[in-house]
Amino acid sequence: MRRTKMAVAAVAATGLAVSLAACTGDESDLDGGEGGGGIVQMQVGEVRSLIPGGSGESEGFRIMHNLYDGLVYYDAVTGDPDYLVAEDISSDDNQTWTIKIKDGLTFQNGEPVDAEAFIRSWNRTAYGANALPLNYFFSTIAGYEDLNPPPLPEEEWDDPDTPKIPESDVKELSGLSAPDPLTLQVELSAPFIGFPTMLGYEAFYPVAEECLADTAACELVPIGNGPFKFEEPYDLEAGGTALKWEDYPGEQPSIDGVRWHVYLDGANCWADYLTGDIDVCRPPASDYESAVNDPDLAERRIVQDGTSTLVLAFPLYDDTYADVNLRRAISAAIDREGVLNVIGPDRFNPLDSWVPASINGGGQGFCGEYCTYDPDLANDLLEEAGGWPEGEKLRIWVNDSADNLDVFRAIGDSIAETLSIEYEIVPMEWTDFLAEREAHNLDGPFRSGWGPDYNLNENYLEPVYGGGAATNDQGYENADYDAKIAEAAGAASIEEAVQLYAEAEEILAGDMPSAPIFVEQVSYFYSERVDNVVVHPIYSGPGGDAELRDIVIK
Amino acid sequence: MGRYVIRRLLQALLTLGIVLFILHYLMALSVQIRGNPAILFFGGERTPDPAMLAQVERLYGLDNGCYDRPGDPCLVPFVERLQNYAAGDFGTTLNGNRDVAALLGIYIPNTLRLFLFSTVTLVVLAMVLGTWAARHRGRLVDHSVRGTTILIDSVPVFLILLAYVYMMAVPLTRWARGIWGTESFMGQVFRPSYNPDYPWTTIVIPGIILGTVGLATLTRLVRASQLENIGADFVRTAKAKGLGQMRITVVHVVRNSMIPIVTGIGYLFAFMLSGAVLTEGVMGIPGMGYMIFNAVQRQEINLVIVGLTISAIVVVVVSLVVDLLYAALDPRIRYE
Amino acid sequence: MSELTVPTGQAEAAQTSLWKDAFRTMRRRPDVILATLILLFVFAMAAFPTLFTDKDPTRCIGREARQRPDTWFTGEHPLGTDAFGCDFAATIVHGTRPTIVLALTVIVATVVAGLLLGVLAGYFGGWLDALISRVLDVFIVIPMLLGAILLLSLFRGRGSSGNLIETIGPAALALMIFSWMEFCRYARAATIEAKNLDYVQAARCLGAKDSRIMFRHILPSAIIPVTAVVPTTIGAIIVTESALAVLGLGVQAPATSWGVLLSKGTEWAGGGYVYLFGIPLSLLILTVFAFAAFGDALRDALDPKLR
Repeated sequence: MRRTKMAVAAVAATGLAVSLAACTGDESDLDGGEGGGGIVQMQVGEVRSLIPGGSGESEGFRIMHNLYDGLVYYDAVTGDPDYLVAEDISSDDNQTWTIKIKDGLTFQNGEPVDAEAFIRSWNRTAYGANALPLNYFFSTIAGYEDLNPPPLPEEEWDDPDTPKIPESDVKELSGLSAPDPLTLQVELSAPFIGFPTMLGYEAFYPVAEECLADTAACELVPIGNGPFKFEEPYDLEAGGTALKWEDYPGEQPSIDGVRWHVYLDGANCWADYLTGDIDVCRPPASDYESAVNDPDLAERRIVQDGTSTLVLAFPLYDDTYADVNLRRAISAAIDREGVLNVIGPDRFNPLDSWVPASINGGGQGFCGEYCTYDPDLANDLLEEAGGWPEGEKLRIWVNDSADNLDVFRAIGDSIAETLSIEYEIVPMEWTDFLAEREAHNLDGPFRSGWGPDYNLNENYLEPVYGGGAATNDQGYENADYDAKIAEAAGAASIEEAVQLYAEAEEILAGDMPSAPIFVEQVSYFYSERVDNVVVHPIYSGPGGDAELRDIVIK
Repeated sequence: MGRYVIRRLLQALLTLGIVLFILHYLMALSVQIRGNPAILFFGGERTPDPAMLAQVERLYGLDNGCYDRPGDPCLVPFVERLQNYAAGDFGTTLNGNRDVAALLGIYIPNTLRLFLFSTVTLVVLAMVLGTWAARHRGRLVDHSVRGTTILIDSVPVFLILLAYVYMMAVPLTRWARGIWGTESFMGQVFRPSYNPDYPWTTIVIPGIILGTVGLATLTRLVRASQLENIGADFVRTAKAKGLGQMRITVVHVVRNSMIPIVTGIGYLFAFMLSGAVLTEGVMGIPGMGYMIFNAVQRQEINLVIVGLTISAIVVVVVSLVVDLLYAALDPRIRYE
Repeated sequence: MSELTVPTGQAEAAQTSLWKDAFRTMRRRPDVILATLILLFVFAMAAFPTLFTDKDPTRCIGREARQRPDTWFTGEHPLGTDAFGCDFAATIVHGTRPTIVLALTVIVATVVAGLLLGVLAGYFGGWLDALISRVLDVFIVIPMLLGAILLLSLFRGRGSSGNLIETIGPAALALMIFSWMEFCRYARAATIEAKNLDYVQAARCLGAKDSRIMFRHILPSAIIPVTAVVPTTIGAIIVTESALAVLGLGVQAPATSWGVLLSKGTEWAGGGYVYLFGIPLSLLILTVFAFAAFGDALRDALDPKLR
């Protein structure tokens, strides 16, 4: 009796919902239609791989972090690594790390998630012959060299132009061991306090045995251990649908699943967002203004600081740029607000430090007045530096993606207008640009940029400006800076390390090897039918993304 | 006829062979001059470790020394490539390590669908307009048809598409969905981009727009050939024989008017391939034109060669078929 | 047939009168007059940009970007400012020269090459014809835009915003390589036809040299079908240039051409700045239309069958 009544009530409720939907008019009609029940419609770009270690780009990672659970998960607000699969991560000397894994976790195919699952995955990525993009992440772990032997000496090459690489028999990192099934012991080749903060990245996700047995099948239907699961193969052109994994032991997401729609190079989701076919989307530059001015859309907008930076780096190895005042003059001559007006407001924010504010230890503003548009100061500084060489053109080197050309053309216009010098943009194809930049062949300021791998200011300092004049792209070297970086790496606590890294950034600011320009700003719009849209500073991909573990369908 | 076909086939094979070699040589030159595409494999801001790079080069057959010597035609890799193609192995892509044959399986049907819609649009429009103009020769209709088709042809097709996508698609879709609902044909057809869930519906509009390429040329051909045939001797003979009007029109006028039209379509096919690059790019249709463009950008040697060779085969085959149809349609032409 | 030299004179007289007649017919057509006016305007912009604007197209103020042309044709910015804050009128006017110079360079080079190869192949036949025809086949198989994309991307060096030649050079070269075939085909067909005509045979009997026969007797008739397609092809080249620019392969910003303007314009048109797209688009369509209409009339006038 009771049961019947319940059923009737349920039917009545459904009927009500249907009629309500019908009454509210065409808008909700649009939204309800395609997705059906609780499927979120998301945009995604071209995915390279869905097996941990194989992607290394935002699009594969944005899908993977919903399919797999790593040892830690970065907090969406603080960015701190919270334990997810790990129960405890500890080290006495910052060199040997002991990771305890929670008991009873399994992959979606029933295999246990244990220390072996991580070792299996990490060894696969670290093994040089597998040629996986995230290989370099394991260079900090002891035994990496054995899996990635350097090329033989030149005399032994078969072909004088092609380095010959010895086959390596070692396929396992000696630094990894499992004292018991749920304990993972990692030995680094040098102490690194930031090791636990790296562990939320794709490179460190576990992999199931069944997956490695048939990687081709696993690329299509990945076997994860996270809250979402593919039933049907993922198609690189058409996308795919991942549904909620019913047996997920953690906190179940509120949505039933997610459908990823693929937008390949050049295409964007904005038009489809406007027709209601996509739930979260970033408008292209030209549509920002109309989107922000639309009162209906403006309510459903998320604005927050991003983490990717854009920097105009100087060739310190070139005599023209040897004077720090000239570098400061150029930086102060850039009207960052004006450039923003050209390339579309709200896509970036002016940046006055080398580490952006959204990163642990960043946002110190060390660049100060030199990163603020001031024509008088710029001209004074230029005079102090002895003026601009007569008849020379300022050559700005960029890689030739369309966006860069616009950004740097606007920057060049601003410098030219302020300092009365002529400029030209030299666009280069990406691979050329990388090679020439590294070989110190560029004779003018060049584009540089950085996106974080993990939440620590060190990530913006050491890899970009460290290593000495011969190694980094700018040809920058300062003994004080290098000493400070080394001191920070050996710090006792993470707080102390962050502080020391910030001091290193201050030394960098004094030398101004590059002019910070912008930090990306997240500015996404979401549809009427979703709520609790969280854009994760580290996990979210470009073009429109949200935390699928948190998003709610109204 | 048989000997003619064989000679044409041999010529076509020779042409394709040369095209293949030129493409190979161009790509080899590009690697030699522009540098190593294997770096692309690593994406990102970092420069890969030399050991890793060498490994990737070996995986993709870029480790041959000839790629370091500008001007070297790289004959050894060329022969290897031909052998692989002959064995049905089209290799894999550098970015994502995907099977090229499988990719073609996805891309080709999309482009065929696009061409189907655009060919139908083109032929129907040109036949109607051309016949209309021919019937009113020298009068206002004739001049306006000519002026309009030239004007339409003057607007680059990709600009029509861009204007459609940026300005018309969204309001049209919202309007159609308000009336017919999201799931209906009308609710999908105006969408601003291709959607793999509706592979036919969402390709209609780009197909129609692409169909305006060469409209002026074909309309002109239809008009001219109809004018020629209406006054031709064999039509007068047929009339004198006392044949019915219907039979004269269908058998004599239309059949003979088809010749230049078939040729025209064959000729326009190459233009459509060019148009497909832009159309597919703008609408996000994963088709051949789109594939070739991106492959060129990324130095996906394999994809470029395979893609352009297929396009070349299509052009060669179409022109062969056109020539043969010529013979079939025109009683005056016989190949011996 | 009594005097062997006369047919030559007749044929040449016929050629001259064909051109004269064509000129006379065309002069009377209103669409030709309109097309000519449009083309004169465009050529004037290309040749003397300073007559049309006194602004410097390279002076761009970021903060003044995208000011709509509210004061049409007057005021500080007659057509507003473009996406970079440069004076839009100045950008358009100065962008005309690269576009037109590129189109004309390509057409002159391809007509010369096409005629030369076509006449040679048609006149000598044999292995030379076989060779040229094979090369023709190979190039015809690769559509112009695809070919240009391939060449421009593969050998994209460091783009330069220097002088005109550097700006349009790569695009012009790529287009030349893939657009001479049509002229060659027409010239070859016309040559084969003309070769067997009485007056050519007669000239040969009189002992005229091959080069004389080709240039004095055959070339004039081979030029006719080629000329008829020249204006339309110029239009096609302008369109292809803009397509390449939209794909980011043609003329490289900050140098301007109509294609560069259009590729920027399409981006902003959707955001409500329709004038950035509309003005260069109208100019492009008008020009291409003028060329096409001119070509259409020329074809009618030069086609004896339709007269």
